Amino acid sequence: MNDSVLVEMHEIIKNFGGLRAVDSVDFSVKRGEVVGLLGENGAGKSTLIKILTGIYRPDYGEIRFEGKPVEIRNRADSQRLGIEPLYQDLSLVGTLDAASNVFLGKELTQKSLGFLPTLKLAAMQKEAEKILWEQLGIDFKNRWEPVYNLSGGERQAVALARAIYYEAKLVILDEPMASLGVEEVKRTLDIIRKLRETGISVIVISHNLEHVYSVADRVVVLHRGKKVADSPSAELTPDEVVKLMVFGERAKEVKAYE
Amino acid sequence: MNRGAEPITGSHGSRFMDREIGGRPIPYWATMIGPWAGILLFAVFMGVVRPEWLGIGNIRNILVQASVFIVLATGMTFVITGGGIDLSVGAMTGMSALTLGWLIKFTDIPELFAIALTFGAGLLLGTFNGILVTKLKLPDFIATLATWISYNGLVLVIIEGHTLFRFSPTVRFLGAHRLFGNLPVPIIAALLIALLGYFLMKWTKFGRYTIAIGGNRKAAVEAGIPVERYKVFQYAFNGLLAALAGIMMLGRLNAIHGLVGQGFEIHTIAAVIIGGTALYGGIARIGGSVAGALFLGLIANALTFLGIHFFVQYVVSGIVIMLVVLLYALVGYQQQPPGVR
Repeated sequence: MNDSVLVEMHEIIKNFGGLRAVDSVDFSVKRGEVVGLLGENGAGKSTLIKILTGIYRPDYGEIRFEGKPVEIRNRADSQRLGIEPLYQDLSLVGTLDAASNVFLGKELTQKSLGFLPTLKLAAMQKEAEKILWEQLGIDFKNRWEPVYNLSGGERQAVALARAIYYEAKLVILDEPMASLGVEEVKRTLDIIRKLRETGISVIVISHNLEHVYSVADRVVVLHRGKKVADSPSAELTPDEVVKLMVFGERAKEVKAYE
Repeated sequence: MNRGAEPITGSHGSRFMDREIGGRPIPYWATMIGPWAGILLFAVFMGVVRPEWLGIGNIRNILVQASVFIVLATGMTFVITGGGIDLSVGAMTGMSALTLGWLIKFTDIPELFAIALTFGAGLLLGTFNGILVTKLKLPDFIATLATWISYNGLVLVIIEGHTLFRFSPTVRFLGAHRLFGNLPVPIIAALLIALLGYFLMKWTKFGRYTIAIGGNRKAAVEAGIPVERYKVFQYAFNGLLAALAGIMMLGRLNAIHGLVGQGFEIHTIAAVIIGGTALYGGIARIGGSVAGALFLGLIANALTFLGIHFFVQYVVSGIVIMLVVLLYALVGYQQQPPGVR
């Protein structure tokens, strides 16, 4: 077993009634690797990710994390391992500021007057800004603003800062560029590269090949629950990926349409 | 509306905290002092119309009358900020006052113990509300509507149309005593409670989680916040403060009858909304609630002062609430932050 492999899913099967959503899929992510997970709607991307985050249990298959077999029964288990999914809604409280969101649920407290647990507001503010600036390169001008007032990209940075604070080893981004403008997309891609530099692995789920290609070290394509491609992004052209996504094969059926 | 998929305008999303007039953003502090400015304007207006209205005796009177609502509005701010509403707060005030009166008149327990038990009763009534909305998953409005009616009924059943009156200075301390010659204790109590509320909201997990739950309940759950426990805390805290309000009412009236506390819920909720706390949760304004309670107190007092009939006051209060909320809308302050919450 390779030491640099962070998570390895082996022969994962998941059925929903008569439907086989994930069919004997092998999927792995190395440390500090950015993997693009591609596929059409219903290809099994979300199901695979939900198995990894503990929302679904697989019917068959094995998951190894840092070389050890693990059981991910629920979200708490995956969080303990350092798996942090970032959904499109980002799970932020719009009316709280950035630092409050970074520390939500894990606030730093101190004993005031010897007994009263109070929030260390200044310390949390400082720490949050440190993560945002040093690790994500976000220059934060709107630090007191409720995050609702931030741009989509800034909100994403806040959610990522939270994942980093939770000591994430694997960040899963589900359609991270879906609602962003051009500048914002660029910033998000920069953030993904910064995560890789700090040794955090990233899974990017997206329909947009251009975005995935600009950051992913490797692309994995699913088609109707089966893995149809898994190779370094340099070895697969976007054109081939599209055909794989749509037809599940690289060339054969394409001819019929040409 | 699809969360997270709202259009991006420029480098920022649409804004709700910086309200804009004619393209110029209204600074945050302006919305904080808004209700206070309203109070000042109103006071100046009354001072011109009736200079004697600004006499120290009358101002003290206003503050004493508002103090009960400052206490209630502080508790209600937590409930509303947490995305709930407590319609039973007036009934809990009545129940608490009755509990104290009944314990004093019909039992031999020490007075201070009776007061402690009254706080316990308020806590219990509030906790019950909290259990209804969390464990039984009743909507906040329905649960507290039910307890409002039943607590009110309970008061009437127990007191059977009688009035209990004449209580000792110890029992009346929180509602009627004056310190340092002429400073009423209820004013001090209300001030301390408002400060406590501000402190809890800003500096403790209780306050932070209250805002988070009201702002985005799903995100709060995902962050591992025990949402149901904190909802119960909010209602319990509100019940505790309703007990204090009941004790203050008994002290001030030196009597307790079946109608004490009736209508307080509407007055309290109005004070909180006038103060700028978001009706749909997530934004807390303790200072605003204090201002709201004072403002409503001022209006009621001024109308009495001008010799306008008691019943008309309701009409005027209603119109004022309407105007204030309209004003909020005009300056772009939305009490329900859209989209990402």
